[in-house]
Amino acid sequence: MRCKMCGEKALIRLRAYNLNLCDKCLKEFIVRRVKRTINKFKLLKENDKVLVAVSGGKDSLSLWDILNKLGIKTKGFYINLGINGYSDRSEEKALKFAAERGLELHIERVKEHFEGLGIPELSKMDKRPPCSLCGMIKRYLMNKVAYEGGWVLATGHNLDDEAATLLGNVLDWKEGYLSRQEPKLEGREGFAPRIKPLVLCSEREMAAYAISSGIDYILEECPFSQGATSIFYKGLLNQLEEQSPGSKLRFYLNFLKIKDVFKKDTPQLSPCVQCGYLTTGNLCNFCRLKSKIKKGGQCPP
Amino acid sequence: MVLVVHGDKKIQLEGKLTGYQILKKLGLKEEEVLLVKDGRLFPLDEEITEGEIRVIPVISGG
Repeated sequence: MRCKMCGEKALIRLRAYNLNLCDKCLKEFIVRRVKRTINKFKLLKENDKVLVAVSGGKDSLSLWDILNKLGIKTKGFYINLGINGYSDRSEEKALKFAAERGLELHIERVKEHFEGLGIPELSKMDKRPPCSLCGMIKRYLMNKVAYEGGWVLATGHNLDDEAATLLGNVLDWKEGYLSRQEPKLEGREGFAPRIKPLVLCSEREMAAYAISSGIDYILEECPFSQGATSIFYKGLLNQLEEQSPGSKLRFYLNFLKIKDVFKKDTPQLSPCVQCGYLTTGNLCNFCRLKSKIKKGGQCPP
Repeated sequence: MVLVVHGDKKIQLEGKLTGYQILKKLGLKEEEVLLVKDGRLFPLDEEITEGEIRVIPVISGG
């Protein structure tokens, strides 16, 4: 198997593009693809600075690496979720990545916001699934730090993540979610712009990029992700991909062409009475949870 | 003898095997894993008779 670009020995076959690539050309291919994604979807303007949400995993650390290679001003942002052992091991990976490259990393800790409680304890106390609670807290903190610092927030969602989310939303015809599933959400009052520069790169391509680049990422999965529906959907989509290479990319790109049919009026938002960030009720979910903990588990009216 | 490390499992395989044959023996899909030897990607069409191969799952999430 020879590299289609340079003729050297190829190390990977990308069936979706009928392309065999060596180590060096694979890395160049992924960097070019991310650059093309940024241009195609107009994800960034000149002089935008990017806050990269990193988890210690292959996608977010690779994204940070690629944005730096493209000469974009970045800062990393890690949230320690307070999940015993797992959070500390993933934080170590993020810290090591930043230190080795001389990059700035901002760290927030869930326990510091919620009276010493991490995601597992908050989930029990609030009687809410850990993943839903974790998503809410991460979205709040990422937006707050990005908005207040004037950053564009970038996340490492890849093609498999987007295709699995799309499949889930289509199965239930969740029109509201479908209308908002985009590579870029524009910023507005109270909301930082959010971008997903890896949407055209598959999960396997990103893992190959990380390995070829010598990025030391956390292989261990979050203990709460076991049996997650998204992982099941990814398996289904990969069965399709085996039979018909390029299926995931076609599914996602063709959706983007027609997605505006799902556009509806956005819900009316008003400032949270405690923190001032926009929400659908009087009190946002983040502040509701904080108040509940302060009152010893009693939910405010 | 080829030692295949897959998560907590260590599997010994005898004889000359390609990466594709290793995936088939383990019931794994090409799209869902990468094979790594000595820290580098191991091409699936390459044959191996000796050494250690690590199976790296690529699917993550929750």
